[in-house]
Amino acid sequence: MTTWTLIWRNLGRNRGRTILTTLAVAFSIFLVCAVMTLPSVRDSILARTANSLRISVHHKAGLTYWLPLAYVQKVRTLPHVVGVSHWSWFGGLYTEPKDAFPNFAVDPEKVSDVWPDIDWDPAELEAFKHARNGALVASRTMAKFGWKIGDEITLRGTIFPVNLTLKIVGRIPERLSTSLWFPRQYFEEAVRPGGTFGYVGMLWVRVDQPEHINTVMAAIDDLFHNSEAETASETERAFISNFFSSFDGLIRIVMLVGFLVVAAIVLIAANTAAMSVRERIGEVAVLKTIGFRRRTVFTLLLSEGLVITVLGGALGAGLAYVILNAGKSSWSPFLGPMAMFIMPVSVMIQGLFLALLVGILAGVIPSRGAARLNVAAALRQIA
Amino acid sequence: MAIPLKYNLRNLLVRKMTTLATAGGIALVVVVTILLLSLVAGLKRMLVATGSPNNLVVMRKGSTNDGSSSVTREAVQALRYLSGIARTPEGEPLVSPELINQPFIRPKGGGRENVLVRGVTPTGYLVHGNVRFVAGRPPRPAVGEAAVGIAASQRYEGAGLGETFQFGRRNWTVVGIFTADGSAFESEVWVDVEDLFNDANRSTYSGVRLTVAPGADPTSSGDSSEAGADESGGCNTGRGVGWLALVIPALLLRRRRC
Repeated sequence: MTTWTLIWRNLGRNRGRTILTTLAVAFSIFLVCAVMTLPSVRDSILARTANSLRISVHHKAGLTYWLPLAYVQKVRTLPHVVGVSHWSWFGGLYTEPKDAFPNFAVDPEKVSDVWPDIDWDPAELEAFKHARNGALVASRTMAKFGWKIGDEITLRGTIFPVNLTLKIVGRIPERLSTSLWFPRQYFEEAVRPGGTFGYVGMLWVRVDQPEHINTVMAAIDDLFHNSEAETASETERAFISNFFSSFDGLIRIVMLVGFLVVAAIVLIAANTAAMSVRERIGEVAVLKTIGFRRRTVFTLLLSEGLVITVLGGALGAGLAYVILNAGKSSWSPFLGPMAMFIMPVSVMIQGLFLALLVGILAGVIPSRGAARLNVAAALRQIA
Repeated sequence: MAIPLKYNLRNLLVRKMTTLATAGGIALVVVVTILLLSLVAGLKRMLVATGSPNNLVVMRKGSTNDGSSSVTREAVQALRYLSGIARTPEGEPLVSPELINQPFIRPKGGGRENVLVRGVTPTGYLVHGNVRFVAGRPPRPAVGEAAVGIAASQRYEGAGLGETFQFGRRNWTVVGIFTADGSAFESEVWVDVEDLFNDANRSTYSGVRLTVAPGADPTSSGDSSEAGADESGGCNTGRGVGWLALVIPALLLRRRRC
């Protein structure tokens, strides 16, 4: 009989208890994995922007305030500025509001100047520059609606009372993006036929080197200080981080709940381990009598607990991965950037390690107690 | 003879650690359950209480929230004189055109948030039946006054009664604090709609709220036009009120204006 068989047989003694404890661990690890996805997605989005040389420039009063289009040219003349592009939020709907994705009117000429870090297809970018109503769409959104390059789609305006028909000419090959970009000129013509709309939502400015970022930000805000539209510049990272800050409270509560659940499970698993050890004091005493060392007994008992928690953890983490990633295709605009419930493998691995930790914490005290048993006293107890 | 309770209690005490561990585990589970149920109850209360059952919200067709929708001034004018709309004792229709904007406002602890600022006319305070002023009064038109929901007044810098509240492109004076049955309106800031048009540089309303006259049938036949009125799920306590087909606004909304 090997150690493994012994462990397995012991677990099979009280099948009900073993199975229920395993399921309890599985459930709590599932919950923790789901909960840890939220900050993990936020952190991976922020990590991408850690070395970004881009600055976002918006109206100081808020993102719903427009900046004059003329600002673009003025910022282009500042030193250390490599490229300036602009975005204007259109907010069009393709189908239901719950399937909404961000769509912007952008400057088609300056895409690669400001976003050289994205792996654009040069032919698609060229097509975007020349197509009157071309659109660049994120791969995720294309997959979600089953669009292909060359398809024509219509976006229903919400804040602007116009509907735009666009022809998809290329992809935005950014893994976490769901955006759609179309040319500014087309937007202008639709919204103000004959005249010019003359305003943009925000500017994106690319700087030549990291050490010049702060200088350029100060220069931009200075340039428009005391003018009709004062600006607030911030790094791309700060801009995105601000979007997440409104979810901070929710994330904190959800994580608290997750970890409380784990703490509860540790206590329950510890109880289970203690119960099963207590029942077998006699056997442990016998094992020690016939010569098994303390360390072996300890390892044996601890391993039983670990098998339960690791199996439960694997079950829970695995289920979480499958279920959360299956929901990849539908997201809710209500949650904004947090709606991308892609559970990364790293979270699954963290879940497994947590299960291991739970097993160790729960099992260590009862196992130690049993290993250090005074054989004579124990045998006297059962006799 | 019944077994004395002492026996059970002493039994528990004999194995102190196990008892504590089990009790602790159950305590944690109860805490978690209560936390989650409270979260759900809070959300429910906020969403269900927002909006009164006799009100309809008119938005651009396809929008389901008045933050991303656009209704022209002409459409509002046409709406005012439809039949079936409740009126004040003086005969004014209870129609409240509103403009939604989201400027940055600084919370007391630092940072920056998008806060919902709603531009309303004085009729707005009548249409939103559950809004009650606990301090001060509603803002007067065109003088840069603001009313702040009770939750917002506690959260933001400068949002107390009588204080100068800075958001958008100007300063505002807080003249009133209101409650709204615990609904989401309590986190909003309400100002005069014309002041907001100037500040936000807009020219169309976001949506129109109106009160249906008691006894009037909110569904009415009419041609199924491009514009329909729809109430947002949160604005009506779950009762599907139906479509109000509006012919004239539909024709007006067809024109491309920004």
